[in-house]
Amino acid sequence: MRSGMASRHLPVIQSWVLIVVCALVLGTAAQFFGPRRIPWAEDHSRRVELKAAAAGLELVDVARAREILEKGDFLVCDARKIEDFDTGHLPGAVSFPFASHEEAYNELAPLFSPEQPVMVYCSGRSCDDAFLLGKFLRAQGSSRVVLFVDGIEGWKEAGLPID
Amino acid sequence: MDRASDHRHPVWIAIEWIACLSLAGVLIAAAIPKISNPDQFALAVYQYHLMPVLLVNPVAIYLPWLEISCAAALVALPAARRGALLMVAGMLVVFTLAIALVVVRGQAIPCGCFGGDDSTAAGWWSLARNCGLLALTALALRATR
Repeated sequence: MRSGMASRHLPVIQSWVLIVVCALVLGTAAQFFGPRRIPWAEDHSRRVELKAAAAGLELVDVARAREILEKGDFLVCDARKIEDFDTGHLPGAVSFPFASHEEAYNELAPLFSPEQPVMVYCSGRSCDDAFLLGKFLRAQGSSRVVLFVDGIEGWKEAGLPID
Repeated sequence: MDRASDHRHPVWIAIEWIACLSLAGVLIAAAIPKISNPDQFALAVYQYHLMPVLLVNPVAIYLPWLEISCAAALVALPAARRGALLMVAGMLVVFTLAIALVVVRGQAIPCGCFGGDDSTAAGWWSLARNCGLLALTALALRATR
């Protein structure tokens, strides 16, 4: 180390303490006084389910999703990105990526009618694309939209086939 | 900074400033969306499944402010710059390892690097970007010597 460094730089530990104290003060201030506060602890594993239930969407598990697929009267929409859809999806599902839902809706509009029941899903319990798509489809007039909360991960974990 | 004690070539001084200003810009760009939507960012952190659930929200609350504090030190506090650069390097190593783990697991989740609304998936592109930022941090550290 050159002799000049001692005067140019604070010791690393001292710099870290300064930076961390700043971050703690600012973060705590934002948490107490900021407009976007979040709980200190939260169960994220059920977050999407709770939001969906609050929005009035019907939730279905793997067993019920399987029945729906076997009966074949629901339109099944995969809300993930097209690349994810291409790597494997529920049998008979159509790709309806929420990331480009308006374009997708324009393309798929003939498949939808208020009476046509729809099942939406995404990767699993912690993704919210399917929930958001479900809300969008309801707003477009679909009267029955169910959310398959376990998504493709739950489907594969249950050992069920994918296309 | 004590200019009299700075015997570096002017090119190294210029490199230090350019690299530090660039890193500060990236840190601020990464922190602002996280601060404006902590809820989404917390979900992005959770989706990595790398820490106990109890730590997810505290990380989502403080991490962006740590980025802002590092950026402020890089720009406004040259004396704390080496410490800030080492901290940035540490954060980048942790983020890069987290993304690498996601790639190895084959998970399809958002990177969350620029907030929870960041639609870039955690994958090869974000790994490459982080490696570039690590190289820039290393260059800045070399320039501060």
